[in-house]
Amino acid sequence: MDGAATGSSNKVSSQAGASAHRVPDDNIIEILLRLPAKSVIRFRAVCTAWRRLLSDPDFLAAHSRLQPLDSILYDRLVGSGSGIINIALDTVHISSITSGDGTDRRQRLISVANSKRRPCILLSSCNGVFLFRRSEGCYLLCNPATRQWADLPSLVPSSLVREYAFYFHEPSGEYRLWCHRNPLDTRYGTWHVLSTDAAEPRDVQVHAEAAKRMTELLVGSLPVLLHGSMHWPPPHRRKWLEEEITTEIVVLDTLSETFQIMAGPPVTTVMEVAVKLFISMEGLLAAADLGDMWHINFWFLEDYDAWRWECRHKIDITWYNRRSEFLSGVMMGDDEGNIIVGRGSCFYVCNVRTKTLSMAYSVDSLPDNVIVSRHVYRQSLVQQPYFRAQSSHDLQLMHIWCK
Amino acid sequence: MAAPESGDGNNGAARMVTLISSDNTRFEVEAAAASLSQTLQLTILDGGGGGGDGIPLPNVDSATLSKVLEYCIKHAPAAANGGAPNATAVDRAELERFDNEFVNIDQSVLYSLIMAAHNLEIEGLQSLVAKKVADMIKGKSPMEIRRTLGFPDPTPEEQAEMNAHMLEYGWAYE
Repeated sequence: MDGAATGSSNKVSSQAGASAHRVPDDNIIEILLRLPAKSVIRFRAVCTAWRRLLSDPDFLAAHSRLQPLDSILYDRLVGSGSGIINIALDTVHISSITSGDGTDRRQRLISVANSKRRPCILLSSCNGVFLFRRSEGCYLLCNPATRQWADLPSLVPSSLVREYAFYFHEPSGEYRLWCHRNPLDTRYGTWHVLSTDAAEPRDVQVHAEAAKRMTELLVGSLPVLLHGSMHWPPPHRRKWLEEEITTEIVVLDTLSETFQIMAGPPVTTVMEVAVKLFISMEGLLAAADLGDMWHINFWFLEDYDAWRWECRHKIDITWYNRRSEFLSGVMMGDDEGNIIVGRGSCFYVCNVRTKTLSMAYSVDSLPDNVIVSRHVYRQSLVQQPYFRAQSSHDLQLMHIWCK
Repeated sequence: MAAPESGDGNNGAARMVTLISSDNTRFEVEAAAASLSQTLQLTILDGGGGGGDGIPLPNVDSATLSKVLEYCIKHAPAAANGGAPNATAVDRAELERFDNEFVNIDQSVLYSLIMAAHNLEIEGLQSLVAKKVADMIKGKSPMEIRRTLGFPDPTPEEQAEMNAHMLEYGWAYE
């Protein structure tokens, strides 16, 4: 601390006035980091120094880290024309879900004009970028914050394609999508990686037996990304005996591009295996066992390298007679000890500190065309070279509302 | 989070420290509250600020310091609890209400506060005030920002760049 005396506003403006072409000071940067995306982009026009700062990758990464985690809801818009279903993607801040006072806090993010025959479907979300499927084997990436788009190479001639893993590959700076083509083929189909920087899909060799096991285990569940690997929860299935069974988690190392099968948390449920994976606030891989009639069990992978699961929380849901509703859940944790479980039309909050379950945010009171998706979103202005401004063709398809 | 425990943590005997503003006003506060400042925390852990000595803060005037301390005193209990595992929703709502009221002040005071929070390294306060100022300026045009900050009028080249940006990113100006 030097000896200068005051901290008045005069000092700020005179300093700033003299430094129109200098890098803004730390206090100004703290303010700019908390602007909405739209303002960040607009303020690039203030002066050269601001433009440089507000386009700087470190600034943009820090800006993204400060953005709240949002849950995505689908809203099927009324008044759609014939042959067209318009779908909007709305966001709700996860932090505001927990304070549940019944108000509708949705914010519109994107609306998509959909033909009934070839609907554009949201498949996944990663680092603020959405992956849409336009048609079989044909994909579109969209960052609503920058209003930029990117294509993935198409899989043609198109045939039955299943998408498995969408992630950002750090070393190459590419977004990648793992697809499985002809999964019903006797030779267990073929695996392909589509990358934003590549013109053509790249074939990946997966051992036939392994591929068969993998496709059995990967059915219809969203993987979570941690430590450069994608993790798929065990598939949902019925069981009839009250016995402890081991579950399996498929792990795809995105660097070595190899699959591994690891142990999931043990479940002791009577009726079914229903495990969802999520990343806890402390950055641990966590699993919710939702198949029990009386409890929700939360497991945490305490030590990733030693791969050790520990049941940390058991929440009593005996009173709750609609438990099957949890099975479609989207899972997220926050730093207040809340774990959010979403399903069709509402969010439930399990507070692991108070060991309570409560319904927190319901879209039941809204028109019945709103449903909770499995996707989460954190706004990001981070630029990737292969993203470009939207073309008129894309404009016809989607409208972005992002603030 | 890392507020110092003065031995027994007994509230009745909470350790006090004295802070001296740039205009020589003395403020006596609990060490736990002052320790929200990373800068002060080290001095206080070393046993400074007690008795007649006081810690001089030559960069912070008394009006700003009293405001800063109002924030620290309110937030100290939650911070001492290390993320407040036993905080109730009511406690959190009360802090949120306090924060909203707290930054509902004149713009010049906000600027003094953000500088004081920066100097004293009070993370929560810095982020609270920065958010408030960001909310106040987020709707402004680039030209309004230049005027607010007292920048000189743009040169013709700068003006041309500003126009080009507006053409390319029209949606960000809506």
